[in-house]
Amino acid sequence: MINVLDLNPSISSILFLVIVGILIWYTFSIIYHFIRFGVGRKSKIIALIFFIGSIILFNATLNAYNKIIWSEFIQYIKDILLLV
Amino acid sequence: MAILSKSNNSFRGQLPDEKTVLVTRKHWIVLLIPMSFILIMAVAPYIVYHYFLQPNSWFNDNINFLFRFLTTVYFLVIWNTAFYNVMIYSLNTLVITNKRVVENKQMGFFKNIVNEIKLDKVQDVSVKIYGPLASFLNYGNVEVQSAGAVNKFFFKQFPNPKDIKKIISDSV
Repeated sequence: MINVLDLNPSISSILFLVIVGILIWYTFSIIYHFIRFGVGRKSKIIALIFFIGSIILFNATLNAYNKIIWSEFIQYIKDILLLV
Repeated sequence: MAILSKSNNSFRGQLPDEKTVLVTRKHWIVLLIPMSFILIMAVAPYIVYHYFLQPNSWFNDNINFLFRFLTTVYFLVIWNTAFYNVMIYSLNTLVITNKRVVENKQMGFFKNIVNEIKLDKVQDVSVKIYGPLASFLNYGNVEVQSAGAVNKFFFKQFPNPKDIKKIISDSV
């Protein structure tokens, strides 16, 4: 998992937090609308399915992010740029 | 399960002695068009992986992990977009009770319009079904003429419009 406290306040970490913030706001808005304005039980069940799916996908995204060796990848891009 | 509503047909703003006769949403064809587009978009990463990425010589484990990360982000966006469309579809409802007809129009996040006609103010109900697809799938527009401040109400692309008309006419 990403330790937010260890992150330097760089542009990439700020960008990461902004994107996560937008995602959380968007997810919250969908769930809020389903529960607050939905007619009957079905809307609430759809909200629950959406919430569980969002958590699973978010965890999958974080796991995939952690597996990337960024230094190797950046070096790879640098090599390509030098060749060009 | 206190978060769940009282019944399958209960809705916000329902009066204590009000009974729901019909709850209907727009025809599924309205949802089908954006959902099929989203479904096609969901297949895109598999096509990119198998036909454009994997056959290349520079493809390695690290690029594979990067692709997985981008794919999960992409799926997260698609998941949210799909449920946004389901939300819009689900919250655009027409509720007919023993006292009134309530139409909820959800235009987006925090953009909600509620039209209400009391049944004793209903003067005339008409149905309009345009085109072969609407005739075949049995959906159309219901137009309600009211004696209230707003003269006409249009309920667009609802399934079984003739049944809706009958229910409103019988309730008046």
